[in-house]
Amino acid sequence: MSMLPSFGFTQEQVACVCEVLQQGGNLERLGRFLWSLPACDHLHKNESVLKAKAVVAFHRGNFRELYKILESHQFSPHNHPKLQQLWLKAHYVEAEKLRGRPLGAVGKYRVRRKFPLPRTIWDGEETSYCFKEKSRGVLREWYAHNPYPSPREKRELAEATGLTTTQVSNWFKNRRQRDRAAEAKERENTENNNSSSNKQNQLSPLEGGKPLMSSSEEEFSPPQSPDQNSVLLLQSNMGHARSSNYSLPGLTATQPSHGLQAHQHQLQDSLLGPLTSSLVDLGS
Amino acid sequence: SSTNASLISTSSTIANIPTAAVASISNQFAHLKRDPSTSPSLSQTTPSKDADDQSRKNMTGKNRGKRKADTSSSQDSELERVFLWDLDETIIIFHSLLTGSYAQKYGKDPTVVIGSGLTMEEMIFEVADTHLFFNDLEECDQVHVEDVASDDNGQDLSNYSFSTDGFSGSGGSGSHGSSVGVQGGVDWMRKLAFRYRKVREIYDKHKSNVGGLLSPQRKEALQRLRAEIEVLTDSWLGTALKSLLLIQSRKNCVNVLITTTQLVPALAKVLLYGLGEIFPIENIYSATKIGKESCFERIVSRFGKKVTYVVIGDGRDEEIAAKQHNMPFWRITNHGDLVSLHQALELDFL
Repeated sequence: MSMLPSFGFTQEQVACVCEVLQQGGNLERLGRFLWSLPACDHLHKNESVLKAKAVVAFHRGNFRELYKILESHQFSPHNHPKLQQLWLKAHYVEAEKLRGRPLGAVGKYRVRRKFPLPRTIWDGEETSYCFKEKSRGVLREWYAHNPYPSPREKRELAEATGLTTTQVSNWFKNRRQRDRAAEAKERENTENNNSSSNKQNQLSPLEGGKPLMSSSEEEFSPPQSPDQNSVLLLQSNMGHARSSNYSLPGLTATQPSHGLQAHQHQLQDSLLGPLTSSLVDLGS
Repeated sequence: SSTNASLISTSSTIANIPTAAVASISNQFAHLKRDPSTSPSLSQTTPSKDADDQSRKNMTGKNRGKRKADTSSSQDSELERVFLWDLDETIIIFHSLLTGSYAQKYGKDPTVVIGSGLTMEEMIFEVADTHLFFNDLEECDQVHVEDVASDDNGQDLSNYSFSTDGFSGSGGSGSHGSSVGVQGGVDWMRKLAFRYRKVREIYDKHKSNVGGLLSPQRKEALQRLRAEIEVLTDSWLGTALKSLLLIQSRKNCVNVLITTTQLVPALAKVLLYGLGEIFPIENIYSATKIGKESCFERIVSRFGKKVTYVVIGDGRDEEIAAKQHNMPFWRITNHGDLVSLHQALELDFL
């Protein structure tokens, strides 16, 4: 904390002012304040001051200056989100100006690829679009126990998974909805299978909704022929909700009994559960 | 109403009454509940059924049951800055007078300094005991003067005898604590609420002139004492007042006080140091029971997230609390810091 006689504010106080004006959105005043700072190196390397400068530069459209600031100093993690937003927004705006029209999602993606976040404001962690497997496991387990958690339980789940309660609520609602859809589809398919003989249904990854695991996931019976083996393995890799879709001969007969088991097995299932059981039985 | 229920629950966690006792509470006395800082969300154990309505705010549960009326009465539309002040060693010098550390730090005569501190302390407790029911309230201290208002029934107190209403068991000041009356009963809670209501009345009446609470001799003694302390502390309070008054003059700014002193003696302190006009009683919070972080949380619930908060204190607990809430912190360690604060305010930097 250097005290400058003519100036009158300590570094800590300067940082405080920067924070206050930023939080208040008073960027004009902030700019004026920064301009009034003495040319002391120590002061200008202070993170709050640099952050303020970055915000002001962005506000003025002075993007060269902004990028320079963002790349010049290693910022502490708690400032990363805000600064990343500045970086990205600035690049989007520039790209839009070149393009002459607004950027869509793909355009923005391309901008992000072309101008990756500097490590000064980013820890290198790739954005993950899925919840962590551990979190998903906790949610799945709970769902099997009770698909309708109370508000308190949702909060506990949120804490246990590191998600927000909204995310937990949405997960449960989506899951119930997809299960309902899956169940309805299954009933429809069972009826179809009973009426027609050798209809191989189109298998779509979207059916059942969930990528790999779902509540109505059922174990696959051993296939009857080598061709069917490969088909079955391929299909189980895609992780379909119901093996009832596979109207391969020999399988449909065993379908009904799986419904009940699936739920219990689900708790202990690893990703490879259905796959390994199929593999084990290949020998026979 | 369910709102009342959650307010009662807050009280019940303080005094452990069953929520069945809620039934007797009347809804007619809105004037008692107008204060925006009566946030029922204070207690973590407050049960609530409508938490999920505000899923965004659901995570910390801090806005559970919060009534819309709360925000409208806190000038949301104009407010931009809320200054959260610590009291001791920030605005006033008191504690360090007593310990001698002020004398040591600034090279003053310790005997004189400590003497002044002791005299002031004596006055504080005199006012607190005589006029603010401190004897009764010491064991059931609150965070905020409105915290037990929901137990009040609004009856006229002009002829009410506090000394003989059985609140403190034997009626004397001797027995504190659990042997007091039927602590926690609805009756007791109501008497508690009466006291806080009376405290509020007395504060409001004397905030510009604490002398009205004292005999002429004591009043004179207080004036001398304050002048003495002001000289000893090189106009510490006067310097702090410049910033406080400047903030007060702005329509879009507000001063809030958060102290680790218990509420009742804190109110006495504020009155005796002449700060009653700066801090309306509803802007005074005591962090003794719940800590500064929780106090800040309550205040954020009251004023909202759209305003900018600035914490001003001499360090330690307020600094940590500020950090936890991502609030900028202005440290006060000496006169210079108070002067700089005033400068920053004058130059429109804060």
